[in-house]
Amino acid sequence: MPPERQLVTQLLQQWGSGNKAALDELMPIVYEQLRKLASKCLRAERPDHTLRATALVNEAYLRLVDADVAWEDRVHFFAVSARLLRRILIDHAKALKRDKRGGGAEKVELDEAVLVGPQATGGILELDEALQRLSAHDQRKGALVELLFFGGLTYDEAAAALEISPATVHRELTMAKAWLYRELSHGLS
Amino acid sequence: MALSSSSEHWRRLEGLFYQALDLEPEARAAFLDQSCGTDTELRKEVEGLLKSAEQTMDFLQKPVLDAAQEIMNQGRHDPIGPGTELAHYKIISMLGAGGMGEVYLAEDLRLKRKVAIKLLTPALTRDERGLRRFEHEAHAASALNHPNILTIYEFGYADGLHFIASEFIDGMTLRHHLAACRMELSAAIDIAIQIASALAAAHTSGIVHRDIKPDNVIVRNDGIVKVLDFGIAKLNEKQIGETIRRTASAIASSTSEPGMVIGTAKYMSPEQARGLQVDARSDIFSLGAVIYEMVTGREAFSGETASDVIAEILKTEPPAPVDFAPDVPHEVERMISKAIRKDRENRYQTAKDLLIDLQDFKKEMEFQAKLQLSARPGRGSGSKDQKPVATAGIGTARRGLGGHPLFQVDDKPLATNFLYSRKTWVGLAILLFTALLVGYAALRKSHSVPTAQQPRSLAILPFRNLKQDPETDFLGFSLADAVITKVGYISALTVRPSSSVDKYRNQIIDPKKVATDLNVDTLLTGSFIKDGDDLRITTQLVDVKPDKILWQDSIDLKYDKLLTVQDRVAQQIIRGLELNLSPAEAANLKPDKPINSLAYEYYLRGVDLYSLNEFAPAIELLQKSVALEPNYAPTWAHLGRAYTTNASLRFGGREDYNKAQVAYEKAIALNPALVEPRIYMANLLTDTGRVEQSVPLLRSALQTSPNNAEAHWELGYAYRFGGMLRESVAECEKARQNNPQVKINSSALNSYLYLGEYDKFMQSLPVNDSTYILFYHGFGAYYLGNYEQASKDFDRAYEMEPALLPADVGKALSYSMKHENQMGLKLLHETENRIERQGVTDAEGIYKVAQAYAVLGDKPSALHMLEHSIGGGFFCYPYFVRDPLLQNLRNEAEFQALMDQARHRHDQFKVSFF
Repeated sequence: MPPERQLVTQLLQQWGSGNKAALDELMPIVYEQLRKLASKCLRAERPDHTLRATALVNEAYLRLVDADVAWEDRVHFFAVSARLLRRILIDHAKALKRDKRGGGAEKVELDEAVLVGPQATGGILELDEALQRLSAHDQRKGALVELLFFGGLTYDEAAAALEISPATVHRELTMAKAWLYRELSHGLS
Repeated sequence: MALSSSSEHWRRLEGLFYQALDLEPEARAAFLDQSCGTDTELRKEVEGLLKSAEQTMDFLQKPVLDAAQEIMNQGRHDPIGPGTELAHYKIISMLGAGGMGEVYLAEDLRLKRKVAIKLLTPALTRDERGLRRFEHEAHAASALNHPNILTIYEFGYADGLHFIASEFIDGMTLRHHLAACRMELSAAIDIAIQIASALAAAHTSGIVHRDIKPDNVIVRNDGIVKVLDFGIAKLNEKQIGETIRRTASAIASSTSEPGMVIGTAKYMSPEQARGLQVDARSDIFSLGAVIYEMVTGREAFSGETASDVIAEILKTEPPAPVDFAPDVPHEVERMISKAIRKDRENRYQTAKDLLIDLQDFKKEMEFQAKLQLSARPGRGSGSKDQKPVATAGIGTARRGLGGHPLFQVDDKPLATNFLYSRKTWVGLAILLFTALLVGYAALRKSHSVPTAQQPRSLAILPFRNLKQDPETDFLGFSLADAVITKVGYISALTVRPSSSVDKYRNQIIDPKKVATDLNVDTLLTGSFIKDGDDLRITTQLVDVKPDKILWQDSIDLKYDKLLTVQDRVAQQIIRGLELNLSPAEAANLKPDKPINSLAYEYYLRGVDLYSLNEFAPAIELLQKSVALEPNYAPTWAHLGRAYTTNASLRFGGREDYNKAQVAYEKAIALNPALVEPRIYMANLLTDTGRVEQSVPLLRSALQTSPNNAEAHWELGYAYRFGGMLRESVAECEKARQNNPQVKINSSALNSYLYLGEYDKFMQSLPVNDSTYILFYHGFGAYYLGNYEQASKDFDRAYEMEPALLPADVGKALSYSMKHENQMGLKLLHETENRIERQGVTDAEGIYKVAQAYAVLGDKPSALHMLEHSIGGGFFCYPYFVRDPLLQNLRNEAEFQALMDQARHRHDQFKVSFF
């Protein structure tokens, strides 16, 4: 196994068995990998096919983790990835915004509002802020949105990550989305 | 609101929301009446949520990345209508569209001729480095003026679109011919000959096509074949590489991706599919696959998805052509089979060889046809397909959608920009370079980056070009580099070398992140815009920790006064950071005497090209610069560096080392205070067996710039060659102490290995996937007796980059562990031949070959290599005496003699310097 993979696998296992410090070591490695993959995606360097978020996390996973790792550790990895992807995307959106203000030559091609959903008034940064408020009320719902929307996890994977049933995922997601949607459309009403 | 009551409120809200949601909409009002009572606030909230819930159908439906991708894919521009003018071209009609962009027929309004305009998709042009490389290569191919290579007139940029104007060919792509009908053998051979001829010419000039496929071949109505898109694969290779890796690793079904790469994947060579470096032999494979298809009417390699295709390419031999076309002569089968061998070593080694075989066959075919005519009904050994060559016989296809008729051969390229008129070197340099660079960097270079206890640490990032203008892009890196050189020898300041900041070129950066990555407390960022002769440069110096802008500056100047920029920025850095300079430093920082502005431009362009790994063109420009202005030290320093790298990567030869040395000496004589030429020169001296001369030079460089990590690292490297292992470790540790980059880019601390401290050695290995690191990982495991691991690592390293010296050594050791000594020895003999043939000077690497020979039991060869290594300047005596890998040799008299020789030089070294 290449050294990096070995390291990540180990850290993941350590973290899974309760060593919180392992996470601190793990995050930068995963972050770097995801950032590379995501920025390719965001610069549209792959024009003719879609790289789905799930695939992206999967790819990072395959590059970084030994395939034989336990299912729980895999889910942990995905949860970390979702958090990191959120950070990456938010940073990206901020950078684009800065560029817009600065009138730079950078092409701004992402209409962020569309990312969130056609009817939403805010963009991804507003969503991020609303999500922080949601997490303050209800951490699990915040985490759920993060896993699904930023990490591209399936409902089942998210359920496993949060240790709740898929039915609960469904129910809580309805509430979370309704709440976020209301938050984001406050400006309108 | 207090937390407890807040969470209480939330729970109630949530409970009511779920309950109400489960009810029919009509029943909800009554339910809320009852449950909320007088709490109208709460009721309003629940109602608000319920209302929102009805509208969230499309809200947060897709993961954000997926949505982003879809939007980008929609964001393509619309086709351009007839009559539209693009620069001085008037669009007449669209000819077709392909993966790389659309192709239009247009009129050149200035020269009144028809041209083909190919628009490059924005996705391809976003990477401006890639774009420039492609331009170089495409121009280089076009400049060959070969009748079978499409002539390019111009690379243009207008209205936000990058385009290529080229000759217009009235004909159809080979893809269309293939789709229309099965091809006559004679026509197929004729086309194959012309493609091979184009490739042979390009390969001779060091240009590899990388994407030979029927879509990139146009057959003119008179039968003349034109090969298009030389070098364009460069634009796409990163993305193809990524996709291939992904598909090849057979990920979850959710990522299966039909489409995109399939077209290209079908003609890819196995080494390309593996993401390895490709050379001319990759084009031969692709051509073989194309001939197969022309002859049989079947694709050689196919599949539903890209990964299926790749699996075929890597593993499966296509069915014999006779299975589909019973008349195919044996000789044609033989040629195809030899062209599409999986192992490139077994393929035709040059396009020229294939061309000769094809031509011979054609002659034979014509001869047979004559025989047939004269001696009917007797038939030659061949088949009914063997008819006289009839190039017109293939012109029956309709012009279909997406056909690419292109242009008439006539004029030479218009744009003979001096950068683009380079013929040959670029392709070769880039091609060979990438993989080697990684290894080379990992082994010993770019372990730069100083740090300091008290001094300020500063990174000067490449300046951003605010205008999309490839003509001025070179300023971004080179201006930053000029400033780095200028302030490089201020002892109160530790500046990151340009090799460390290169990666931030054209990037949106997060200052904090960059500062952390580079371990600096200050960043200098800048941008520039050129408009005619006017240049505006803005710079700012940021103190990262308090996130404070120390100063900002905007410099307006005429383009021919570029030289003043480095002085001005350097002065501002000194003032902004309140640095105290010694009188000598202050004298060194006096503004440079004005130099010829063209010479300075050549200098900057040369520096930029060097950073893009295009060494030969870089050398040419730097030479032009010193010819105009022989007294500017930095040019000589960079020229020397370009020669050295060229030589190390074996593009050049020993004479390049000599030229490098002359250039360094010039630079040092002109400006003895410059640090960089001393470090480079020392590196050259160590590499060429003169480590005793390199040590004083490095020590003097460290006197000028005590915290220069590059100098420390080079010194550690020199000490290692001389066998001063503890001292070597200390220097390397000093270099990497505060430098997170060194760990990633540099080789392992070999001295630990040589000291027998294997665990420390393993810990010092950087975490990355390079071939070198894999090898070292295996090597460490080998010393530790973990043979299973070692074997695995060695095999993988070899798979990644066969023919890389350590990869060969590892593989040979791996053979020894499997008791396949003969295989191992065979490999080592090849390695040794390469060393002799190419004049490899890496004495430490040659020592490794000696080790492997010794392990495999070939004592004479081991001793020969050992002699070569010690004679070449690697006299790490303390390692030799304890190295268990040399155990086999210890009783040999010759070995003793060699050890005496090494000990003697080592002792001398020790006495002289310690």
